[in-house]
Parts: sequence; C-alpha cells; structure tokens
Amino acid sequence: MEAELVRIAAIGIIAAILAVIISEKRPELGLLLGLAFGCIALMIAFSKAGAIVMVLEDTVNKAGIDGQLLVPVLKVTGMAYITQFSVDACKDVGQNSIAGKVETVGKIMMLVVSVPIATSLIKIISSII
Amino acid sequence: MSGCLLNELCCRKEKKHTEEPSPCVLGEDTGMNVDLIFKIAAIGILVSILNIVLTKSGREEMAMMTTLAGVVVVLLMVAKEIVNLFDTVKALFGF
Repeated sequence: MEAELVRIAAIGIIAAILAVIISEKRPELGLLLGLAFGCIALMIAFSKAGAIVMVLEDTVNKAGIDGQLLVPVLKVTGMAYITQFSVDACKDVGQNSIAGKVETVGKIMMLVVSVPIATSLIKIISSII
Repeated sequence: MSGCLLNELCCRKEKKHTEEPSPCVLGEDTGMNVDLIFKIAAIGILVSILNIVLTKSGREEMAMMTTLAGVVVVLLMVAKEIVNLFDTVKALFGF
C-alpha cells in the first residue's frame, strides 16, 4: 500500500511540473494531463480498495444484518466518487455551471438509490407503532 | 515491461491466497498507465513546437489543424482512461 502512495506522489510531482510546462503554450492539453493523472491515481487507489469492500460485506454478514442493506450504501459511495471526479474536472476547465448540473444530477440519483432504504425504515417504524 | 510481468506474478501469488479476483485484475494495468502522462506531455510539447514552426512559415491554417489533431488524440486517450476508471468504480461498488 505504501509503495502505491509513494508511486502516486512521485507521479503527481512529475505531472504537476509537466502540466505547468505545457500549460504555458497549450492550456487545454495541460488540463487533459491533469485529468489523466487523476484517472491513473484513482485507478491505483481503487484497485486496492476491493479489500475494504470485502471486509465490509464480511462484517455485515457476520453481524447478521441483511446483506441487501449494504448495497445502496456502496452504490451511493461509488456514485459520489464518480460525481466528485466529474465535478472537479469540470471546475478545472472553468465550466462551473456544468459542474453544478452534474452535481445536482448526482444528488438526485443518490436520492433515488437511497429512497428504498428510507421507505423500509418507515415501514419498520409503522409496524412497531 | 518487467514491471508488468512482476505485477502479473504478484497477482498470481495473491490469487492463491484469496478468492477475490477484482483488486488483482484491476491492479494489473496500473504500471502501464504511468507513461500516459509522459505521452500527453510529449504530444503537448510537440504540438506547440509544430505550431510555432508552422506559424512562422506562414501556414496558420495548418498550425490550427495540428493543434486540433493533438487535442483530439489526447482527448481520445484520456477518454479511454476515464471509461476505465468509471468501469472500475462500477465493478467495485456493485452498480
């Protein structure tokens, strides 16, 4: 894990310097370089994050909680990562309005995914009462 | 090349221990991706040099075409990477 961190940190420094060099003449290519670095860094990070999800599922199974309850949580986490990545990319390019729209769509879709959990909670509460 | 091989070997070793294939499969192409940044930087420098040369020799339209081609090529490369990343996130969080 620490090897990956060192690798990403080194790549980050190199990418930043290269982006500054390119941005002088071609700002759009500098932005694309930043985006490419983001993709690479997140790919390396997520390729190691599978273990966390596995541990989480394992813990939920051992605790006797319904496994279906974890699915929306994971889904919303992934959606949040994707939305944040896209919003950051749009803001880097300077399109704040597009970034805002992507953020709104992400929020609505996360709400849609999490509504079944909320309704099941309401059902449980109403059955208790 | 050797990094890739090493990565593959590590993957195989990990596969014996754990049944979870996804982190291993996903980690396979991370070593290869590092040179994408260098590729983009090289294209950027090349395009700006070509742009200067073509502009000085009075071919403004060709200079613009070169710029456009460079941007499109880099955009294609980055788009492939973004799709890759989103697929990874989808696979990881079970979309």
